Amino acid sequence: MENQPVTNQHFYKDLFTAINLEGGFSEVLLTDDSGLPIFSSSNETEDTEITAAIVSKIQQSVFITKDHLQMTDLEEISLYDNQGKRLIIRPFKAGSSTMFLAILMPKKSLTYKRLLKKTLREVTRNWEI
Amino acid sequence: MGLQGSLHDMSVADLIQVNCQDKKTASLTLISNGKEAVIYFKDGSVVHSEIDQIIGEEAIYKILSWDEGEFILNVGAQSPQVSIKRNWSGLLLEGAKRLDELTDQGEELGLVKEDTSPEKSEKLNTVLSQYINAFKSIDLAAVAGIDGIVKAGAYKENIEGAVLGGIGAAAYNFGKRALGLLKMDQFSYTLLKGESNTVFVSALNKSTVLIVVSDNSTELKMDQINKLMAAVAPLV
Repeated sequence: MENQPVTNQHFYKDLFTAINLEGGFSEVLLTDDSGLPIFSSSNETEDTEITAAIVSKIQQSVFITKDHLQMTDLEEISLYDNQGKRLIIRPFKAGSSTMFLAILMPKKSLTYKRLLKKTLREVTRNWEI
Repeated sequence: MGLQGSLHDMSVADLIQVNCQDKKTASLTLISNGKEAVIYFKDGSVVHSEIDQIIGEEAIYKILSWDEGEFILNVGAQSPQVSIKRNWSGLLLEGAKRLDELTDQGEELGLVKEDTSPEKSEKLNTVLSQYINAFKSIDLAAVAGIDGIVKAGAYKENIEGAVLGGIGAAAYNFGKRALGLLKMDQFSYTLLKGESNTVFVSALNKSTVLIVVSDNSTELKMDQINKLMAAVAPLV
């Protein structure tokens, strides 16, 4: 978070808060390629550090899986529970950095693709190193 | 008089699946060890079931454990009531999970032993092969233990069994742990979507996972997956 200009920090905070509210998500989290959280917006019951650690572990595991199954670039990873709650993780590039956007969805009925694309577009457009 | 048969030739799960897939409206009466039960179908959905004083889903789960007896199918018979809303594949899956738990308890008490007969494994392979042949976009379907050992599989491309089993086991074990940390419900499934393939890993019961790999020529449909899960769950 420190390597972002102050103005950008406000921008990302506003963006993530708006996306979280509009989508009705429990958490929206951006991490770097080592799983460290960069920006997040979550309701009080979610623990951002735990989600970030899970994102980190998933990204390590899926790259091994991808190679073994000869998959090309991985677009999205999702974990579903028995109630239809989901954790969606989307790897992407902004500038020269690989990052992960994670969305925690508390209800089966919610949709996320439009908001996820919007968030990726805004992050990619405004990312500064 | 309707169609009659023996549960030795056709299991309760198979009877439910066939009647639902054929979109039948019918009553299925089952008689086993002096007990009588009935399942009603309406336009391919299970709508009601009764055994003793038990009605609804619980009756279905009890009947699914019957492996001997007779059945009589009366096509066109109407159900007196609606006590079941869950779809048939969901009923079979939940029934298989409950049977698995009962079997585990029985094994712990030394009452039953796990059925690892070659016939069962062969049947599992047949179901998986039929599935990948029925759907052009499916490259692979396999059943593995959470220890990573592949029990059965059908492949269009050669993939090393140990690698596949390892991926299934890792996805299940990690998914279960991650959902626990996130205070979510029990692990259901994980999807890894790549540019050209999608990998699906789901829990069939607490010791077995189903792995499906599809190309992305058509979207992986959950109803296709649910049908496969319902077909393989009684065999694992």
